[in-house]
Amino acid sequence: MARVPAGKAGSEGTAGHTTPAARRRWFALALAVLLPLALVMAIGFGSTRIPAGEVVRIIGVGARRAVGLGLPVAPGLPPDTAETIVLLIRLPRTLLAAVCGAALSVAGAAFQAVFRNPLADPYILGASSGGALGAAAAILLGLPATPLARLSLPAAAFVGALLAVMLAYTLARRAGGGSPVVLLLAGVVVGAWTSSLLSLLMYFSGRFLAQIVFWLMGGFGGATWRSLAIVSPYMLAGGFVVVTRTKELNALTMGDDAAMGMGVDAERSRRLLVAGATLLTAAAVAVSGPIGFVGLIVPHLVRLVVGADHWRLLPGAAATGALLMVLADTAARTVLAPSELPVGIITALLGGPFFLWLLTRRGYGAWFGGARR
Amino acid sequence: MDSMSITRTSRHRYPQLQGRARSLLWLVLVLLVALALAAGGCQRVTEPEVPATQTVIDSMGRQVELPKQIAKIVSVSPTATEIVFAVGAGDRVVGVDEYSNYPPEAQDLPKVGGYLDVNVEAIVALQPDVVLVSTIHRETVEQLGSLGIKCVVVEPRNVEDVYTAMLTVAQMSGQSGQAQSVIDQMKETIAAVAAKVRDIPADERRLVFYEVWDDPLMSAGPETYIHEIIVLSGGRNLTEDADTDYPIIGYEVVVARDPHVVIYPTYHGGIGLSAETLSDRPGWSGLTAVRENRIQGIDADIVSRGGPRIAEAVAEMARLIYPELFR
Repeated sequence: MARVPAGKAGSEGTAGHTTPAARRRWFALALAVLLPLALVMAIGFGSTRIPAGEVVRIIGVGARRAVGLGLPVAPGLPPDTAETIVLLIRLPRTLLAAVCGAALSVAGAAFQAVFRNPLADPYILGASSGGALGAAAAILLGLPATPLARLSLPAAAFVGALLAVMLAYTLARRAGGGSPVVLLLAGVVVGAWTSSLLSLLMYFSGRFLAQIVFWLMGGFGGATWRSLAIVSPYMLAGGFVVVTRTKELNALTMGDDAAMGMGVDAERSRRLLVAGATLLTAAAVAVSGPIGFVGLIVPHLVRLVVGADHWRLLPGAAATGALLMVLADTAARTVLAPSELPVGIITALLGGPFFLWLLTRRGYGAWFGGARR
Repeated sequence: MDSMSITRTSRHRYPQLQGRARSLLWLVLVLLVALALAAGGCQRVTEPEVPATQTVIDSMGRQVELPKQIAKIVSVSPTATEIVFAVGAGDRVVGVDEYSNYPPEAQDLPKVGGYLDVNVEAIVALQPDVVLVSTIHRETVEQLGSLGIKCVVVEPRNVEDVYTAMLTVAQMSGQSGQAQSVIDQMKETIAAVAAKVRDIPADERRLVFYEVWDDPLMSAGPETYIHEIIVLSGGRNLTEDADTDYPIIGYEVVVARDPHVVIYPTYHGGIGLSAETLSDRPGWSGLTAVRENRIQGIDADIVSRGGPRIAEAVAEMARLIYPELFR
């Protein structure tokens, strides 16, 4: 229905002149092959190279031993280094990157539909600055580096992100009922105001300033099986809410009146979708900090290939987001080895020009104009 | 004024008042000469002080012209503060930054702002002869320069630089003798450590992971004091191959390189690491340092500031890396 004119820009994907259906099949196939490949490659790369065959073997060993839940491989014994690195460090880290990439991309797609605004991203309602404020507060409270205290940072970031979005939502409902434009404005204002509180905290943060700054750049350096286990329930819940509402998402992109005509309660769907997407975003922010551009670009990129129907867009965005985040994190770990770059720098550095290229493509800019009329 | 009114009067009553006017003129002349003489005398007394200057070359290679006699010093760098006190010019320091916490008497001095937010007005009010700064204070240096206050950059980058910086500061404040004896002591301390670790073969030197920060995990690169202190203590730095000074590293780097010793900075009773905290990191329970419980804290200030306490830092680091050699 909301057909993308860019469908005529035929040189997309693998084949030259293809029907949209064929192109979608190629896209799905490519993702199905590339994603597992990228995971194995990502786990092999790093400051110590581990051959792909060895990676697969170790994962097999690990799966058989079922060590997956943060238990030490074999307490007391000096474990095999490659096994330790793959099973306890790179595997949880790579999976966490994949999950966060998928969550941010799905949340971005949902927010773009809810607000009927191509500029919307997962942080549009202040989740990143709220999360940052929570994280900075946790850092400054200076809890000792005990195992339990390490959970206080993601918990505070998660709560901060949720609170910021809830504040924006409450303000918007008081100001203008359920209008998406008012919500958008409230989100932007809450985000800016939260940022100023963050600046205030940073000004007084002394030697903790660097830690806050690095947190703001985003990264998966602290990933463990435990962080994966902590975010999974929220990711699953948020993901479920959004992914089961593809019909509502499609309806909302056409405006409230059209949605009503299709039997969709616009305001109620919007509330649920915002809640689901926020849960996804807050969980990602909690464990990785705010990582920009992925949640903005991936929905656009995938829409270009599979069209604007959310039934196809959401799974495509999830897989593409996972793939890109895994690649970005691999680059973050390897380009300066043994040092690491914060992954947010890489996504922004590559994402910005890529997004501009996307905009200059024939027909794509027109879609924005068309969709908003 | 007086002579003006006299000439004006004499124009009208010149014939009658000639004699009185003359004597008045003489009086004025005598007074003027006396004044000139007095002023001249004054000039002669101050002459040796005002134009006498000295030229100092600072850590950035800038040539700074300073008065020969330095009576008032402001330091906005904790390193420079330690150096000034060590060379015996501490009694001339009239203001410091908030982070200058050593020696203890520096803490009682008037504060002129933090590290990045130096209060230029507070410095001007103290009227110092020189302000000791570090390289990050470029803007402050320009501001103070336009107000006629001279700045000297004190930013040593290695132990050799520390000696040079100490001599520079000592020379400008006329304390060269004391500085030399402090430097000799420092060299002695470092040489004593070197003598004890000299015979450890290269492949038996302990690998040291200095944990600069825990989240994100940060180490020290080859251009840092920490690296130099580890090497002077007979150890090997885990990340001597890093490109940056304080690289962020993944947990896997530590697992793969398996250090013998983990050393972390303590900030006046702040965060401390323990075998328990380290074992909590993924894959770290098998580390040699964790299994043998060689996890030690060291005063962050003595290892990160290139001050006179750097020799002390080398001795302390050596004791932490090779406790059996230093009892």
